[in-house]
Amino acid sequence: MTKKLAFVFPGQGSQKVGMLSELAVAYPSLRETFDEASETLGYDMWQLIQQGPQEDLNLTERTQPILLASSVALWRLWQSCCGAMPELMAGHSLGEWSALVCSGAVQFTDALQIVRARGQYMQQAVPLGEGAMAAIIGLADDKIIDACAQASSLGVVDAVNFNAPGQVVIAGSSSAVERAIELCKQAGAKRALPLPVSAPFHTSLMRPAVDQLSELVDAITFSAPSIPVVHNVHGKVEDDPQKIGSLMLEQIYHPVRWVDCINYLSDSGVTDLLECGPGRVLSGLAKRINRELSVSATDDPESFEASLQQFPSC
Amino acid sequence: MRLTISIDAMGGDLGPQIVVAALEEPLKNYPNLHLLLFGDHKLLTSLISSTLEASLAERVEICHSPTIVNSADKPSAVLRSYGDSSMAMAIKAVADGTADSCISGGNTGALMAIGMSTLGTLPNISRPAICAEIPTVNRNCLLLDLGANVDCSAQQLHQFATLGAEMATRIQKIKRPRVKLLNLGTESLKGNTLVKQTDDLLRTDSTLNYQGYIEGHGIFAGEADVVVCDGFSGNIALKVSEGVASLIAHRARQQLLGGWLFRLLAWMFKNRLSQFRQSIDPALHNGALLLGLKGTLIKSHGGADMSAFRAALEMAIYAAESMQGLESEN
Repeated sequence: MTKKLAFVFPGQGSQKVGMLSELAVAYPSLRETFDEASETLGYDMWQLIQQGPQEDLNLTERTQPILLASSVALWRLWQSCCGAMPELMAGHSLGEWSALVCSGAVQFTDALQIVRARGQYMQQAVPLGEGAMAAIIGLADDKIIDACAQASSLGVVDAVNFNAPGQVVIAGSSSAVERAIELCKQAGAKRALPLPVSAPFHTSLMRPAVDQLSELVDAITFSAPSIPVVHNVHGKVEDDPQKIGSLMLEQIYHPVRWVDCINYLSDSGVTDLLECGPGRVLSGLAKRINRELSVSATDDPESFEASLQQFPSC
Repeated sequence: MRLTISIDAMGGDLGPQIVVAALEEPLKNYPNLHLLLFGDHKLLTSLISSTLEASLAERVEICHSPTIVNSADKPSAVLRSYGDSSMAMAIKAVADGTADSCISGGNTGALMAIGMSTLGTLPNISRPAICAEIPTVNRNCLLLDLGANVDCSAQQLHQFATLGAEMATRIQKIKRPRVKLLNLGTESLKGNTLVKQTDDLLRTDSTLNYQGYIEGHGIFAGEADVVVCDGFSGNIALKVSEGVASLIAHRARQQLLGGWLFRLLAWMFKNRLSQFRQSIDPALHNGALLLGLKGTLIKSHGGADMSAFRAALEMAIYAAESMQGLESEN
């Protein structure tokens, strides 16, 4: 069977102090992307990634540009090392911006400023303590959606990330999320874990962030992606640059349909996924969605070189 | 205006003596030319002093670089371990603005890798393409990609078309260069999926003067100013044409040496014959551009001899001059 490669770009949660350090020792040019990002955003990004503290790295407005820069740095290194071009791309939440930069649809420096603002506005959209997120493990999607509908008498609560079968994240106002967790447990969920995130991302509570961000998004130019990107909102590709901006805004208050995105890739004949960014979160999810998919990583020298050997292009 | 070219003196298969021997004529022809020679300082110093007269040698600066990229090194290995190589340091001279263009006869994969990581790609360009001037019955035509990207998407071929057209405008001063897509026929039904997808894409780009398909022989008939193809087809097209050119030269030589009358004719027309040989000799069309980088990088054949390396150096001068002109226009 012929191999078909797609790249996936991680979202928030994959960051860790000290990430990519070995790779940067092996490939000094990796740092140049972070230098570019530091210059654009006005702080020493590489220093923060390597020295922490983790709390600063976890600040949404820092995490988002850092993950974007990490993915772009790995993408550039992959290109320089003559790695194969993927045929499709998908990014999880913020990772969708990384995919758009790597596919040539958006300029890196534009995206850096947008995701910083995206992080800020998403954080500010709901006062601290009023929003919550939780992972529901081992319960069918429709039962989770029902539980959220029942709990919504207490406030907004929705299923926001369909990450893998039996792995759904819900989010909303704190009391409604608490109630939905109880209902999910009653309905047979194996576990329900509150997530250490301070805002209910991808719910309708994020609309104020969209209003603020739209000004910035409208001001930048989107090009047609040179590699098609599968979007979180509908799990399909969009070639028309005019429509990409609004999909990226909708994404903020719509669920991340990651299962649909991965299924779209498999249905298009993709056999192999490369996680272009720190961590292995998306590789784990992909295997749960479709065991047939092969996954590889890029975030340390051994995995990077093993992946290169598997997918050379010249 | 001063023109500075950085040279990876250790890159070619035939060693730095070929490189140094190729410098004399360009230095004489271009009084504004300065050269930065990267490689083993001791070796290069002795080669320069024995090859070039002092008045020319003073425009050559030797820059020591301790390591050499080997022809078999993988791009990833080169990025890991060869930061102080003659190739990396020569390219860096372009990145930091010391040189206007750089030339190397080293490993193409390494040149791409260092070029991309040191200079970076232009906005909207995923990966650079190798582009060369091909002689035709009219003026030269630009053919790309010649092997940097074996598998390409339609979007990449579209990028190459844009790069090629821009280069034809800038270097060859053609206002609306005719861009064509290499195919095995010119009818719309002909071709594989990639070619058809690319054709659709190119037709929608009104900034290009896209004129549809071209067949292999059409390149030499001068039917286009820019011919776009993937690196796999481009490399085969280039090498087949080089092979045919060598065959013609070989057969012509055989014929002319076949009898006293032919020998006499050959002697009488030796200037004409030499011009003919030069016009088709692939070695004298040496010097391919790596297009799509934020800087001018020229690839010389690994096996280039002195005259071939000189041709590549002239290409580097020519490209740098065109770019310089452009910068001053802006």
